[in-house]
Amino acid sequence: MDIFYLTCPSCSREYYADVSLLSLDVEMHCPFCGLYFRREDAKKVLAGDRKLSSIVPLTGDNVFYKPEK
Amino acid sequence: MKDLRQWIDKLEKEDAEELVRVKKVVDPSRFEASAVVEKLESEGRFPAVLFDAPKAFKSRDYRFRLLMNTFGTFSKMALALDLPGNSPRSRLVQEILKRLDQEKEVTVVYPQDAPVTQNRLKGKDLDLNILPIVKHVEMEGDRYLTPIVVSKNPATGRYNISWNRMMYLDPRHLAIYMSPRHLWSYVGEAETAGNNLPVAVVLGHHPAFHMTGAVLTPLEQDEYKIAGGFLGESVRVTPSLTYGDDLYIPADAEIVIEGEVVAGKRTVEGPFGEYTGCTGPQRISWLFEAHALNFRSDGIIIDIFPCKTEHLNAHLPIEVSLLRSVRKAVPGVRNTSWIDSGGPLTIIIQMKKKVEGEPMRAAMAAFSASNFIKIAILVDEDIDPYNLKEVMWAVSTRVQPESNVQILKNLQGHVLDPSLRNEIKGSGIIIDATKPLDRPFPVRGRVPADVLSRISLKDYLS
Repeated sequence: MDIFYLTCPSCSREYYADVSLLSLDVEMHCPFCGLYFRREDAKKVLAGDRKLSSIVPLTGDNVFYKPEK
Repeated sequence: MKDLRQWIDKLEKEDAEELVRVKKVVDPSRFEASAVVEKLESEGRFPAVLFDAPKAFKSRDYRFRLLMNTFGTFSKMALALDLPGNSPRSRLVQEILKRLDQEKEVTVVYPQDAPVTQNRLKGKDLDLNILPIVKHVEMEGDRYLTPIVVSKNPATGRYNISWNRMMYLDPRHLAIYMSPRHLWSYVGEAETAGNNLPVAVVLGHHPAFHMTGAVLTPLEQDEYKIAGGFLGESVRVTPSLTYGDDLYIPADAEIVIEGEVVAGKRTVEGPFGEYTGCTGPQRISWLFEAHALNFRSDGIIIDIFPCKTEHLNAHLPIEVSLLRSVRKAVPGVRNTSWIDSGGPLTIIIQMKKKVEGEPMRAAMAAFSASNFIKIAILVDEDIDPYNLKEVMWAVSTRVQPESNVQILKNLQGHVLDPSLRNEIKGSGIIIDATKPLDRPFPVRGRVPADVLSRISLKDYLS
Protein backbone atom coordinates (compact mmCIF):
# COMPACT_ATOMS: atom_id res chain seq x y z
CA MET A 1 0.00 0.00 0.00
CA ASP A 2 1.13 3.57 -0.49
CA ILE A 3 3.03 5.14 2.34
CA PHE A 4 3.49 8.60 3.75
CA TYR A 5 6.42 10.21 5.52
CA LEU A 6 6.40 11.74 8.98
CA THR A 7 8.98 13.73 10.86
CA CYS A 8 8.99 13.13 14.61
CA PRO A 9 8.23 16.26 16.69
CA SER A 10 10.82 15.23 19.28
CA CYS A 11 13.88 13.81 17.50
CA SER A 12 13.16 15.29 14.05
CA ARG A 13 13.94 12.03 12.29
CA GLU A 14 11.84 10.88 9.38
CA TYR A 15 10.14 7.51 8.92
CA TYR A 16 7.15 6.19 7.04
CA ALA A 17 3.76 4.63 7.70
CA ASP A 18 0.99 2.92 5.78
CA VAL A 19 -1.29 5.49 4.16
CA SER A 20 -4.30 3.93 5.92
CA LEU A 21 -2.97 5.54 9.10
CA LEU A 22 -3.54 8.98 7.58
CA SER A 23 -7.26 8.76 8.09
CA LEU A 24 -7.29 7.10 11.51
CA ASP A 25 -7.48 8.75 14.90
CA VAL A 26 -4.38 7.04 16.26
CA GLU A 27 -1.12 8.09 17.84
CA MET A 28 1.93 7.45 15.71
CA HIS A 29 5.06 5.85 17.18
CA CYS A 30 8.51 7.16 16.37
CA PRO A 31 10.83 4.17 15.74
CA PHE A 32 13.87 6.22 16.65
CA CYS A 33 13.04 7.85 19.99
CA GLY A 34 9.91 5.86 20.93
CA LEU A 35 7.65 8.91 21.24
CA TYR A 36 3.94 8.41 20.69
CA PHE A 37 2.57 11.55 19.05
CA ARG A 38 -0.43 12.81 17.20
CA ARG A 39 0.00 13.16 13.49
CA GLU A 40 -0.90 16.85 13.56
CA ASP A 41 2.04 17.37 15.92
CA ALA A 42 4.53 15.89 13.42
CA LYS A 43 7.07 18.37 12.17
CA LYS A 44 6.25 17.32 8.65
CA VAL A 45 3.80 14.96 6.96
CA LEU A 46 4.37 14.13 3.31
CA ALA A 47 1.87 11.84 1.69
CA GLY A 48 2.64 9.40 -1.10
CA ASP A 49 3.62 10.90 -4.41
CA ARG A 50 4.10 14.38 -3.00
CA LYS A 51 7.44 13.28 -1.62
CA LEU A 52 9.09 13.47 -4.99
CA SER A 53 7.87 14.37 -8.42
CA SER A 54 9.60 12.49 -11.21
CA ILE A 55 8.89 15.41 -13.53
CA VAL A 56 9.40 18.46 -11.34
CA PRO A 57 11.99 17.56 -8.70
CA LEU A 58 11.70 19.44 -5.41
CA THR A 59 15.09 20.57 -4.29
CA GLY A 60 14.31 20.95 -0.58
CA ASP A 61 12.05 22.75 1.85
CA ASN A 62 10.73 26.26 1.18
CA VAL A 63 11.07 26.00 -2.58
CA PHE A 64 7.63 27.38 -3.38
CA TYR A 65 7.44 30.98 -4.48
CA LYS A 66 4.65 33.09 -3.06
CA PRO A 67 3.65 35.86 -5.48
CA GLU A 68 3.80 39.42 -4.20
CA LYS A 69 0.47 41.10 -3.55
CA MET B 1 12.85 -36.71 21.35
CA LYS B 2 13.98 -33.90 19.11
CA ASP B 3 14.63 -30.42 20.33
CA LEU B 4 16.76 -27.43 19.37
CA ARG B 5 19.71 -28.46 21.53
CA GLN B 6 19.85 -31.87 19.89
CA TRP B 7 19.94 -30.19 16.46
CA ILE B 8 22.71 -27.80 17.52
CA ASP B 9 24.79 -30.74 18.79
CA LYS B 10 24.21 -32.56 15.52
CA LEU B 11 25.20 -29.48 13.52
CA GLU B 12 28.40 -29.10 15.50
CA LYS B 13 29.31 -32.77 15.02
CA GLU B 14 28.38 -33.16 11.37
CA ASP B 15 29.15 -29.75 9.87
CA ALA B 16 31.04 -27.58 12.34
CA GLU B 17 31.46 -24.77 9.82
CA GLU B 18 27.71 -24.29 9.85
CA LEU B 19 27.73 -23.02 13.44
CA VAL B 20 29.63 -20.20 15.09
CA ARG B 21 29.41 -19.26 18.75
CA VAL B 22 29.67 -15.71 19.99
CA LYS B 23 30.72 -15.63 23.62
CA LYS B 24 31.12 -11.86 23.81
CA VAL B 25 28.28 -9.86 25.36
CA VAL B 26 26.17 -8.33 22.58
CA ASP B 27 23.22 -5.96 22.70
CA PRO B 28 20.65 -7.20 20.18
CA SER B 29 18.39 -4.22 20.84
CA ARG B 30 21.10 -1.98 19.36
CA PHE B 31 21.53 -3.95 16.11
CA GLU B 32 24.71 -5.65 17.36
CA ALA B 33 23.54 -9.23 16.75
CA SER B 34 22.08 -8.47 13.33
CA ALA B 35 25.28 -6.62 12.39
CA VAL B 36 27.30 -9.78 13.08
CA VAL B 37 25.02 -11.81 10.80
CA GLU B 38 25.05 -9.11 8.12
CA LYS B 39 28.86 -8.96 8.17
CA LEU B 40 29.08 -12.73 7.78
CA GLU B 41 26.59 -12.60 4.90
CA SER B 42 28.61 -9.88 3.18
CA GLU B 43 31.55 -12.33 3.23
CA GLY B 44 29.38 -15.02 1.67
CA ARG B 45 29.11 -16.94 4.94
CA PHE B 46 25.79 -18.13 6.32
CA PRO B 47 26.48 -20.17 9.48
CA ALA B 48 24.01 -20.35 12.33
CA VAL B 49 25.18 -17.87 14.96
CA LEU B 50 24.66 -18.78 18.61
CA PHE B 51 25.02 -15.76 20.87
CA ASP B 52 25.85 -17.04 24.33
CA ALA B 53 25.50 -13.72 26.13
CA PRO B 54 22.90 -11.47 24.53
CA LYS B 55 21.79 -8.58 26.71
CA ALA B 56 18.20 -8.23 27.78
CA PHE B 57 16.66 -5.00 28.98
CA LYS B 58 16.07 -6.39 32.43
CA SER B 59 17.63 -9.65 33.48
CA ARG B 60 20.16 -10.72 35.98
CA ASP B 61 18.26 -13.73 37.33
CA TYR B 62 17.87 -15.64 34.09
CA ARG B 63 20.15 -16.35 31.18
CA PHE B 64 18.91 -16.70 27.63
CA ARG B 65 20.75 -17.36 24.41
CA LEU B 66 19.99 -16.23 20.90
CA LEU B 67 20.27 -18.23 17.67
CA MET B 68 20.25 -16.43 14.32
CA ASN B 69 20.69 -17.72 10.75
CA THR B 70 19.21 -21.11 11.62
CA PHE B 71 17.93 -21.26 8.04
CA GLY B 72 20.89 -19.49 6.45
CA THR B 73 21.69 -22.51 4.24
CA PHE B 74 19.76 -25.43 2.80
CA SER B 75 22.31 -27.78 4.33
CA LYS B 76 21.21 -26.80 7.84
CA MET B 77 17.60 -27.38 6.80
CA ALA B 78 18.58 -30.77 5.35
CA LEU B 79 20.15 -31.75 8.67
CA ALA B 80 16.92 -30.73 10.39
CA LEU B 81 15.10 -33.26 8.20
CA ASP B 82 17.63 -36.03 8.95
CA LEU B 83 19.27 -35.76 5.51
CA PRO B 84 23.01 -35.41 4.94
CA GLY B 85 24.02 -31.75 4.99
CA ASN B 86 25.33 -31.94 1.42
CA SER B 87 22.02 -33.15 0.00
CA PRO B 88 21.08 -31.40 -3.24
CA ARG B 89 18.15 -28.99 -3.21
CA SER B 90 16.01 -31.48 -5.15
CA ARG B 91 16.50 -34.09 -2.40
CA LEU B 92 15.40 -31.58 0.23
CA VAL B 93 12.30 -30.75 -1.80
CA GLN B 94 11.46 -34.47 -2.17
CA GLU B 95 11.87 -34.95 1.58
CA ILE B 96 9.52 -32.07 2.39
CA LEU B 97 6.96 -33.43 -0.09
CA LYS B 98 7.19 -36.80 1.65
CA ARG B 99 6.91 -35.40 5.15
CA LEU B 100 3.88 -33.30 4.27
CA ASP B 101 2.00 -36.59 4.00
CA GLN B 102 3.34 -38.14 7.20
CA GLU B 103 1.13 -36.56 9.85
CA LYS B 104 1.63 -37.78 13.40
CA GLU B 105 -0.71 -37.44 16.36
CA VAL B 106 0.64 -35.37 19.24
CA THR B 107 1.80 -37.03 22.45
CA VAL B 108 0.51 -35.29 25.57
CA VAL B 109 2.92 -35.32 28.50
CA TYR B 110 2.57 -34.07 32.06
CA PRO B 111 4.05 -30.62 32.71
CA GLN B 112 6.67 -32.14 35.00
CA ASP B 113 7.91 -34.18 32.01
CA ALA B 114 8.06 -31.13 29.74
CA PRO B 115 11.45 -29.35 29.65
CA VAL B 116 9.75 -26.07 28.69
CA THR B 117 8.08 -25.88 32.12
CA GLN B 118 11.42 -25.84 33.94
CA ASN B 119 10.75 -22.16 34.72
CA ARG B 120 7.28 -20.59 34.73
CA LEU B 121 6.49 -16.94 35.37
CA LYS B 122 3.08 -15.32 35.55
CA GLY B 123 1.28 -12.44 37.19
CA LYS B 124 3.48 -9.65 38.51
CA ASP B 125 6.60 -11.76 37.95
CA LEU B 126 6.02 -11.73 34.21
CA ASP B 127 8.12 -9.19 32.34
CA LEU B 128 9.04 -9.73 28.69
CA ASN B 129 12.04 -7.48 29.21
CA ILE B 130 13.96 -10.43 30.62
CA LEU B 131 14.21 -11.75 27.04
CA PRO B 132 16.95 -10.58 24.68
CA ILE B 133 14.93 -9.19 21.79
CA VAL B 134 16.41 -8.07 18.49
CA LYS B 135 16.28 -4.90 16.48
CA HIS B 136 17.32 -6.05 13.02
CA VAL B 137 17.48 -3.07 10.68
CA GLU B 138 17.32 0.68 11.09
CA MET B 139 13.92 2.31 11.38
CA GLU B 140 12.33 -0.79 12.95
CA GLY B 141 9.52 0.26 15.27
CA ASP B 142 11.02 -1.46 18.29
CA ARG B 143 12.55 -4.79 19.24
CA TYR B 144 11.01 -7.74 17.37
CA LEU B 145 10.40 -11.41 18.08
CA THR B 146 10.01 -13.69 15.05
CA PRO B 147 8.24 -16.65 16.66
CA ILE B 148 6.05 -19.55 15.70
CA VAL B 149 2.54 -18.84 16.92
CA VAL B 150 0.41 -21.84 17.87
CA SER B 151 -3.32 -21.21 17.88
CA LYS B 152 -6.37 -23.41 18.15
CA ASN B 153 -9.70 -23.06 16.43
CA PRO B 154 -12.13 -23.03 19.36
CA ALA B 155 -14.86 -24.61 17.23
CA THR B 156 -12.95 -27.44 15.53
CA GLY B 157 -9.98 -27.95 17.84
CA ARG B 158 -7.62 -27.73 14.87
CA TYR B 159 -4.19 -26.37 15.72
CA ASN B 160 -2.54 -23.83 13.47
CA ILE B 161 1.18 -23.11 13.37
CA SER B 162 2.28 -19.88 11.75
CA TRP B 163 5.22 -17.56 11.56
CA ASN B 164 4.38 -14.07 12.81
CA ARG B 165 6.33 -11.00 13.73
CA MET B 166 5.73 -9.49 17.15
CA MET B 167 6.93 -6.07 18.27
CA TYR B 168 7.69 -5.27 21.89
CA LEU B 169 5.28 -2.73 23.39
CA ASP B 170 5.58 -3.03 27.16
CA PRO B 171 6.41 -5.72 29.78
CA ARG B 172 3.24 -7.71 29.04
CA HIS B 173 2.21 -6.64 25.57
CA LEU B 174 3.39 -7.24 22.03
CA ALA B 175 1.97 -6.14 18.69
CA ILE B 176 1.29 -9.06 16.34
CA TYR B 177 0.88 -8.67 12.58
CA MET B 178 -1.05 -11.24 10.57
CA SER B 179 -1.50 -11.65 6.85
CA PRO B 180 -5.00 -12.80 5.94
CA ARG B 181 -4.50 -16.53 6.37
CA HIS B 182 -5.44 -19.10 9.00
CA LEU B 183 -4.44 -17.33 12.24
CA TRP B 184 -6.06 -14.16 10.93
CA SER B 185 -9.31 -16.06 10.34
CA TYR B 186 -9.20 -17.57 13.86
CA VAL B 187 -8.71 -14.15 15.40
CA GLY B 188 -11.54 -12.77 13.28
CA GLU B 189 -13.91 -15.54 14.35
CA ALA B 190 -13.02 -15.13 18.03
CA GLU B 191 -13.37 -11.36 17.83
CA THR B 192 -16.77 -11.62 16.16
CA ALA B 193 -17.89 -13.72 19.12
CA GLY B 194 -16.43 -11.10 21.46
CA ASN B 195 -13.60 -13.35 22.63
CA ASN B 196 -9.86 -13.09 22.86
CA LEU B 197 -7.90 -15.82 21.08
CA PRO B 198 -5.43 -17.74 23.29
CA VAL B 199 -2.13 -18.48 21.54
CA ALA B 200 1.26 -19.92 22.40
CA VAL B 201 4.24 -17.94 21.18
CA VAL B 202 7.06 -20.44 20.59
CA LEU B 203 10.46 -18.78 20.57
CA GLY B 204 12.67 -21.78 19.96
CA HIS B 205 12.19 -25.41 19.00
CA HIS B 206 13.79 -27.87 16.60
CA PRO B 207 14.11 -26.16 13.18
CA ALA B 208 11.86 -28.81 11.60
CA PHE B 209 9.11 -27.60 13.92
CA HIS B 210 9.66 -24.01 12.80
CA MET B 211 9.60 -25.08 9.14
CA THR B 212 6.01 -26.22 9.66
CA GLY B 213 5.10 -22.55 10.07
CA ALA B 214 5.80 -22.07 6.37
CA VAL B 215 3.59 -24.87 5.05
CA LEU B 216 0.49 -23.99 3.04
CA THR B 217 -2.21 -26.37 4.26
CA PRO B 218 -5.96 -26.66 3.93
CA LEU B 219 -7.77 -25.09 6.87
CA GLU B 220 -8.92 -28.48 8.17
CA GLN B 221 -5.44 -30.02 8.44
CA ASP B 222 -4.02 -29.96 11.99
CA GLU B 223 -0.57 -28.43 11.92
CA TYR B 224 0.70 -29.98 15.16
CA LYS B 225 0.28 -33.26 13.26
CA ILE B 226 2.13 -31.87 10.25
CA ALA B 227 4.91 -30.69 12.57
CA GLY B 228 5.13 -34.33 13.70
CA GLY B 229 5.67 -35.29 10.08
CA PHE B 230 8.44 -32.72 9.71
CA LEU B 231 10.10 -33.79 12.94
CA GLY B 232 9.77 -37.46 12.05
CA GLU B 233 8.18 -38.10 15.43
CA SER B 234 5.13 -36.96 17.38
CA VAL B 235 5.23 -33.44 18.74
CA ARG B 236 5.23 -33.75 22.51
CA VAL B 237 2.83 -31.22 24.00
CA THR B 238 1.78 -30.30 27.50
CA PRO B 239 -1.11 -28.32 29.00
CA SER B 240 -0.44 -24.60 29.17
CA LEU B 241 -0.23 -22.91 32.54
CA THR B 242 -3.03 -20.47 31.71
CA TYR B 243 -5.45 -22.53 29.62
CA GLY B 244 -4.67 -26.10 30.68
CA ASP B 245 -5.90 -28.70 28.19
CA ASP B 246 -7.60 -25.99 26.13
CA LEU B 247 -4.23 -24.97 24.70
CA TYR B 248 -1.33 -27.37 24.44
CA ILE B 249 2.15 -25.94 24.18
CA PRO B 250 5.18 -27.78 22.73
CA ALA B 251 6.82 -29.63 25.62
CA ASP B 252 10.31 -29.59 24.11
CA ALA B 253 10.39 -25.94 23.11
CA GLU B 254 12.96 -23.62 24.61
CA ILE B 255 10.63 -20.75 25.47
CA VAL B 256 6.86 -20.32 25.16
CA ILE B 257 4.87 -17.20 25.96
CA GLU B 258 1.19 -17.87 26.67
CA GLY B 259 -1.30 -15.15 26.08
CA GLU B 260 -4.16 -13.83 24.00
CA VAL B 261 -4.79 -11.77 20.91
CA VAL B 262 -7.08 -9.18 22.45
CA ALA B 263 -10.49 -8.73 20.82
CA GLY B 264 -11.34 -5.19 19.81
CA LYS B 265 -7.88 -3.78 20.41
CA ARG B 266 -5.34 -2.56 17.88
CA THR B 267 -1.96 -0.88 18.01
CA VAL B 268 0.49 0.77 15.64
CA GLU B 269 3.39 -1.50 14.75
CA GLY B 270 6.47 -1.24 12.53
CA PRO B 271 8.29 -0.24 10.46
CA PHE B 272 9.77 -3.73 10.07
CA GLY B 273 12.43 -5.22 7.80
CA GLU B 274 10.28 -7.68 5.87
CA TYR B 275 11.05 -10.83 3.89
CA THR B 276 10.82 -8.88 0.65
CA GLY B 277 14.11 -7.22 1.59
CA CYS B 278 12.41 -3.86 2.14
CA THR B 279 11.57 -2.14 5.40
CA GLY B 280 7.79 -2.09 5.42
CA PRO B 281 5.88 0.88 6.82
CA GLN B 282 4.30 1.39 10.21
CA ARG B 283 0.91 -0.33 10.16
CA ILE B 284 -2.12 -1.11 12.28
CA SER B 285 -1.72 -4.47 14.03
CA TRP B 286 -3.37 -6.59 16.66
CA LEU B 287 -2.55 -6.53 20.36
CA PHE B 288 -1.16 -9.57 22.18
CA GLU B 289 -1.32 -9.73 25.98
CA ALA B 290 1.08 -12.11 27.71
CA HIS B 291 -0.18 -14.18 30.65
CA ALA B 292 2.65 -16.62 31.33
CA LEU B 293 6.20 -17.37 30.30
CA ASN B 294 7.57 -20.94 30.19
CA PHE B 295 11.24 -21.51 29.55
CA ARG B 296 14.12 -23.88 29.91
CA SER B 297 17.14 -22.69 31.82
CA ASP B 298 19.58 -21.10 29.36
CA GLY B 299 16.69 -21.02 26.90
CA ILE B 300 17.51 -20.32 23.27
CA ILE B 301 15.48 -17.87 21.20
CA ILE B 302 15.42 -18.57 17.48
CA ASP B 303 15.43 -15.22 15.73
CA ILE B 304 14.93 -14.95 11.99
CA PHE B 305 16.76 -12.07 10.34
CA PRO B 306 13.66 -11.06 8.48
CA CYS B 307 14.86 -9.28 5.36
CA LYS B 308 17.89 -11.48 4.74
CA THR B 309 18.68 -14.82 3.15
CA GLU B 310 17.60 -17.01 6.04
CA HIS B 311 14.05 -15.68 5.99
CA LEU B 312 13.65 -16.47 2.32
CA ASN B 313 15.20 -19.93 2.82
CA ALA B 314 12.80 -20.61 5.65
CA HIS B 315 10.04 -20.24 3.07
CA LEU B 316 11.15 -23.43 1.27
CA PRO B 317 8.11 -25.35 2.61
CA ILE B 318 5.91 -22.70 0.94
CA GLU B 319 7.68 -23.34 -2.35
CA VAL B 320 7.22 -27.08 -1.91
CA SER B 321 3.54 -26.57 -1.08
CA LEU B 322 3.24 -24.56 -4.29
CA LEU B 323 5.00 -27.28 -6.27
CA ARG B 324 2.53 -29.81 -4.93
CA SER B 325 -0.47 -27.65 -5.86
CA VAL B 326 0.83 -26.85 -9.34
CA ARG B 327 1.77 -30.47 -10.04
CA LYS B 328 -1.68 -31.57 -8.95
CA ALA B 329 -3.19 -29.28 -11.60
CA VAL B 330 -0.62 -30.11 -14.30
CA PRO B 331 1.26 -33.39 -13.74
CA GLY B 332 3.87 -32.44 -16.32
CA VAL B 333 5.32 -29.85 -13.94
CA ARG B 334 8.85 -30.93 -13.05
CA ASN B 335 10.23 -28.26 -10.69
CA THR B 336 9.50 -24.85 -9.26
CA SER B 337 11.95 -22.16 -8.27
CA TRP B 338 10.57 -19.50 -6.00
CA ILE B 339 13.23 -18.91 -3.37
CA ASP B 340 15.99 -18.93 -5.98
CA SER B 341 14.11 -16.86 -8.52
CA GLY B 342 15.77 -13.70 -7.34
CA GLY B 343 12.50 -12.17 -6.21
CA PRO B 344 10.29 -12.95 -3.25
CA LEU B 345 7.12 -12.84 -5.33
CA THR B 346 8.27 -14.63 -8.51
CA ILE B 347 7.95 -18.32 -9.33
CA ILE B 348 9.62 -20.13 -12.20
CA ILE B 349 7.81 -23.29 -13.23
CA GLN B 350 9.65 -25.91 -15.27
CA MET B 351 7.36 -28.31 -17.11
CA LYS B 352 7.00 -30.85 -19.85
CA LYS B 353 4.21 -29.29 -21.85
CA LYS B 354 1.94 -31.86 -23.50
CA VAL B 355 -0.68 -29.55 -24.99
CA GLU B 356 -1.06 -25.83 -25.50
CA GLY B 357 -2.73 -24.06 -22.61
CA GLU B 358 -1.07 -26.16 -19.91
CA PRO B 359 1.38 -23.42 -18.93
CA MET B 360 -1.53 -21.09 -18.23
CA ARG B 361 -3.20 -23.75 -16.10
CA ALA B 362 0.00 -24.32 -14.16
CA ALA B 363 0.42 -20.60 -13.59
CA MET B 364 -3.18 -20.21 -12.48
CA ALA B 365 -2.71 -23.07 -10.02
CA ALA B 366 0.26 -21.21 -8.52
CA PHE B 367 -1.71 -17.99 -8.25
CA SER B 368 -4.64 -19.86 -6.69
CA ALA B 369 -2.45 -21.66 -4.19
CA SER B 370 -0.84 -18.58 -2.72
CA ASN B 371 -0.84 -14.80 -2.77
CA PHE B 372 2.96 -15.02 -2.48
CA ILE B 373 2.98 -15.16 -6.29
CA LYS B 374 2.89 -12.02 -8.42
CA ILE B 375 5.01 -13.16 -11.37
CA ALA B 376 4.95 -16.64 -12.91
CA ILE B 377 7.46 -17.63 -15.59
CA LEU B 378 6.98 -20.97 -17.32
CA VAL B 379 9.85 -22.78 -19.02
CA ASP B 380 10.41 -26.09 -20.79
CA GLU B 381 12.37 -29.06 -19.47
CA ASP B 382 15.51 -27.98 -21.30
CA ILE B 383 15.73 -24.84 -19.17
CA ASP B 384 17.23 -25.03 -15.68
CA PRO B 385 14.75 -23.06 -13.51
CA TYR B 386 17.48 -22.33 -10.94
CA ASN B 387 19.72 -20.70 -13.56
CA LEU B 388 18.34 -17.22 -14.13
CA LYS B 389 20.53 -16.71 -17.22
CA GLU B 390 18.91 -19.76 -18.80
CA VAL B 391 15.45 -18.60 -17.77
CA MET B 392 15.96 -15.14 -19.25
CA TRP B 393 17.32 -16.74 -22.44
CA ALA B 394 14.04 -18.63 -22.75
CA VAL B 395 12.06 -15.45 -22.07
CA SER B 396 14.08 -13.64 -24.73
CA THR B 397 13.81 -16.28 -27.43
CA ARG B 398 10.47 -18.00 -26.82
CA VAL B 399 8.17 -15.14 -25.80
CA GLN B 400 6.17 -12.88 -28.04
CA PRO B 401 4.69 -10.46 -25.52
CA GLU B 402 1.38 -9.93 -27.29
CA SER B 403 0.50 -13.61 -27.08
CA ASN B 404 2.69 -15.11 -24.35
CA VAL B 405 2.30 -12.53 -21.62
CA GLN B 406 -0.91 -12.19 -19.63
CA ILE B 407 -1.68 -9.55 -17.03
CA LEU B 408 -4.11 -10.60 -14.31
CA LYS B 409 -5.99 -7.78 -12.63
CA ASN B 410 -7.75 -7.47 -9.29
CA LEU B 411 -5.85 -10.31 -7.64
CA GLN B 412 -5.35 -10.63 -3.93
CA GLY B 413 -1.77 -9.50 -3.65
CA HIS B 414 0.63 -9.87 -0.75
CA VAL B 415 0.30 -7.18 1.90
CA LEU B 416 4.07 -7.02 2.24
CA ASP B 417 4.64 -6.33 -1.48
CA PRO B 418 6.13 -2.82 -1.42
CA SER B 419 4.85 -2.07 -4.91
CA LEU B 420 1.17 -2.53 -3.96
CA ARG B 421 -0.83 0.68 -4.25
CA ASN B 422 -3.97 -0.76 -2.69
CA GLU B 423 -4.03 -2.42 0.74
CA ILE B 424 -4.11 -5.92 -0.72
CA LYS B 425 -5.59 -5.87 -4.23
CA GLY B 426 -2.97 -6.07 -6.94
CA SER B 427 -2.15 -7.67 -10.25
CA GLY B 428 -0.11 -10.53 -11.59
CA ILE B 429 1.79 -11.43 -14.72
CA ILE B 430 2.22 -14.76 -16.48
CA ILE B 431 5.11 -15.14 -18.91
CA ASP B 432 4.84 -18.33 -20.94
CA ALA B 433 8.40 -18.99 -22.12
CA THR B 434 7.69 -22.53 -23.31
CA LYS B 435 8.13 -23.44 -26.96
CA PRO B 436 4.91 -23.65 -28.98
CA LEU B 437 3.67 -27.14 -29.84
CA ASP B 438 1.25 -26.06 -32.54
CA ARG B 439 3.78 -24.67 -34.99
CA PRO B 440 7.37 -25.43 -35.97
CA PHE B 441 9.94 -23.78 -33.72
CA PRO B 442 13.75 -23.63 -33.98
CA VAL B 443 15.79 -25.93 -31.77
CA ARG B 444 18.76 -24.86 -29.67
CA GLY B 445 22.05 -24.97 -31.52
CA ARG B 446 23.94 -28.05 -30.37
CA VAL B 447 26.85 -30.18 -31.60
CA PRO B 448 25.49 -33.69 -32.35
CA ALA B 449 25.49 -35.79 -29.19
CA ASP B 450 27.14 -38.81 -30.87
CA VAL B 451 30.11 -36.65 -31.91
CA LEU B 452 30.43 -35.18 -28.43
CA SER B 453 30.50 -38.63 -26.87
CA ARG B 454 33.04 -39.86 -29.42
CA ILE B 455 35.73 -37.26 -28.87
CA SER B 456 38.00 -36.63 -25.93
CA LEU B 457 39.54 -33.19 -25.42
CA LYS B 458 42.92 -34.61 -24.50
CA ASP B 459 43.24 -35.93 -28.06
CA TYR B 460 42.95 -32.37 -29.41
CA LEU B 461 44.62 -30.08 -26.87
CA SER B 462 48.33 -30.13 -26.39
